[in-house]
Amino acid sequence: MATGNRDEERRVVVTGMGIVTAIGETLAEYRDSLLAGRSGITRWKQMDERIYSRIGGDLSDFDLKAHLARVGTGYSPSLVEQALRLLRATPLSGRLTAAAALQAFDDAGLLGLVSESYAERFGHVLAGHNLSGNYVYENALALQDEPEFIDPLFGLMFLDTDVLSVVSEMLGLKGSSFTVGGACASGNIALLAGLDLLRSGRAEAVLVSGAPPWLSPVMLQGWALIDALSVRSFNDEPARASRPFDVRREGFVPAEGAGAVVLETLAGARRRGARLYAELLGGAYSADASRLPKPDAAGQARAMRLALQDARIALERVDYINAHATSTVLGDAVEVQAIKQVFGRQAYGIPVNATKSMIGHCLTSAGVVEFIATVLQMECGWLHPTINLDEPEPGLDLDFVPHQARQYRAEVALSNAFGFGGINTCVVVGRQV
Amino acid sequence: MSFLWLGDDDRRVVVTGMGIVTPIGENLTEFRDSLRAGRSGIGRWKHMDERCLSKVGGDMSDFDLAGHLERVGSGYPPHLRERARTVLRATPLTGRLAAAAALQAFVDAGLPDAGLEPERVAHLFGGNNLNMNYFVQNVLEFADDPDYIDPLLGVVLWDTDILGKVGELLTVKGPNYTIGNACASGNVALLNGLDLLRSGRVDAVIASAATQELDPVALQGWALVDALVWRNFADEPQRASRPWDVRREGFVPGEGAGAVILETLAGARRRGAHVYAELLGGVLTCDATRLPKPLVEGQVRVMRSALESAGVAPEQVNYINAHATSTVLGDAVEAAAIKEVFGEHAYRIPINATKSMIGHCLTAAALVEFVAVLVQMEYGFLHPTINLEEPDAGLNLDLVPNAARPYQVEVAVSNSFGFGGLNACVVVGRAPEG
Repeated sequence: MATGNRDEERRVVVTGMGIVTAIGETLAEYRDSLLAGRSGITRWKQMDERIYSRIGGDLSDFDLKAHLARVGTGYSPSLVEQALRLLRATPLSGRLTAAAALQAFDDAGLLGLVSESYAERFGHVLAGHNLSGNYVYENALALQDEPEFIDPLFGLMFLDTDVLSVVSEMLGLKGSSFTVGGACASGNIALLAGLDLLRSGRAEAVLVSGAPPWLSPVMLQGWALIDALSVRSFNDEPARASRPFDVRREGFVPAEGAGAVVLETLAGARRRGARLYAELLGGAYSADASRLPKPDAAGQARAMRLALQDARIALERVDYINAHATSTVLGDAVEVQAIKQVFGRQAYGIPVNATKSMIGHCLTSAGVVEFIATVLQMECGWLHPTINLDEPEPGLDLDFVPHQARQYRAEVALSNAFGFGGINTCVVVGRQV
Repeated sequence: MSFLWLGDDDRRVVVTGMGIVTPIGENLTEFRDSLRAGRSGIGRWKHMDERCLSKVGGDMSDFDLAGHLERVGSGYPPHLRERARTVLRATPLTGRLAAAAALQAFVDAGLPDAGLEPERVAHLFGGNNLNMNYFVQNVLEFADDPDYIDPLLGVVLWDTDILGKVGELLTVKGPNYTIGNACASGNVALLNGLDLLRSGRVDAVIASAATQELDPVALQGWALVDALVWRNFADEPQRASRPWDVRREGFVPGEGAGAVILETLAGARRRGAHVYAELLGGVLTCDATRLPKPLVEGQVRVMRSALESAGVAPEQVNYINAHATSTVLGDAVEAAAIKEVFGEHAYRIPINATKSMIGHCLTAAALVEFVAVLVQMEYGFLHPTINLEEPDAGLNLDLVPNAARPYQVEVAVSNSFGFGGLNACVVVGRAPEG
């Protein structure tokens, strides 16, 4: 039974979005930076100097109070007060995610409008796992020194679910709420889990939030040791380090950044007169049955095909792809191969860009952050560039939208996300509802 | 059972295989016998930092996968035993426990020879923040010298490493993700599995969960928020987990794993699978509070809507597997919530606490207890709630104290509630006739 029923209780639309990245803390800032091809990658600001990794999208000095003063002018004072109180001692991942979620809720026109019965039908799916990395790191060292020195709230706040709960408390969400993890595909998995919550009737609206792990030096060192990161050539030119499809790419550039979207059934969105950004037409998962961090074109192609099937969209209608494209040597090449497998000759006519060229790889939130980039591009009628694509690798010969934004009205887009452990996901977005 | 919702058999979801690894049993037979005998699996920690306040728990830190496979896996297909050893070689405890339970369930369901398309098989793993002790140990190595960490840490540290490994072991090529819901994670994995099957995305779901590998920092953290037992019972570990008893003082963490195979009734019948039970429905809700403070109204809401989703009236429920973690507040709140949902009928429903024997398996608890429910249903008994020497005043339900009893479970409710106001309740019924 393909889930293609088109009635309005089962169609799912995007009605609000929020974003916090190194290149923008509002939708407008983010869109403008994307179109301008601005990089958010810098030297790490306060990282252990002994590790190989030197650069990334660093939000470690994110100041929630200043953020709310700047972008939360439409929030009620009591909400701001509550957010600051709840998030006071919350580790970075939770603060970023909560800020994005507040924006999405505001953008959807939902602040202050959620009744008790609506709240009970309002789900929350959080993309992310191992979010408290640096917090665990600090407390593990504190315990080594003296067990009584750890944060008194460690028992609650190290849990990924604390991020889920703190956001749900702030917004008063009482429906089906859980986190999902699929490594770097987590964001798309959360979108799909949200889609299925709406289609199955378990929820009338769902907040899908994408939380990034708070990066610890241990994790960064671990990735450097398996040669997954850019650590060699671009430490003095951080903005040039993330270069998907380029011949000089050498690994992903990790980044902190959060995104959130409000999904609703079309019927529910129409009932309350919500603005409709786009339709989440469908999506799918596939796995490679492999523990290795080794991408597989067949698995990626299957995820794209199944996603189109789930969305009931013919191949020919796809006119834009937001690639996973992490700037790893193998990953980018395999994804191009998979796109060619799915689309054949048509692949050469589809613009394919890489949001990660600017913001780096937000890991567990990447799928959500890039979904937002996709919707924003569809809405404004432009495609953002893939920056740093100075010399495409031979054979990587698709239209990658190099260097310059382009005026373009995408109607049906794919957004890919693939994770370590052979997890492949793809979602399909339609501009017109 | 005419009261059951009679949808078509493609939407009815059944359990066709189970696996379990706990300190009181590493297969269904051992687990059944221990449950019936009221055996405790709680002991002193074997290798824990002695400075931690927490002294007792269900400790599986010396779990030996090869020995386990030799002992309980003699009937497994040899290639799977071999692959388990290869794939799990350098895997922290949680992944080894999870894989052992999932493999058991897979074999129990007859899936190695079932000819399912791997693309139509999903694995949903209930849990978050899993390889904690591995991380903590590596933090200490790192502090010494950043190059001393495990060379594979960049892969192994992530919760999803377990997905890749179980996926390779059992050739899972469908949806594959972890689900975090704190102590309710296992039930949410079951519910997402239910929805995946009903949506037609897959033909079979492996729902599994394993406790996070317990580490001194998390244990100390839970002691500091006064959630776990640490004042008394250090010298009588088996008496520490005592739900509803007047001397209870907190939960006792336990390591363990559980797994089940879910299929549609139609699919199970097509391949002639043994059906243990039907997953009639369930619901998850959130209290919109981050505090680890259980709320009667939240628990009432989740049980009521779970019954509604299952098409079951309260008086049809004849067994409840309680969340009952042995905390002072939690056990009382759950009893009050059950009374509110079931009214007079509450006093006629036997309610027991699996955690009295195995402790609290945290993110795995719900799945481990779901297996306990099905084992009791299958073998016609109720396990005791041990250590219930003097029930707290007001907790006057039938809590099956201290002795097992023969009993035919028809429709069961299994509760799980997590820190942060996360509630999940599933409803399970006997295998459909025919």
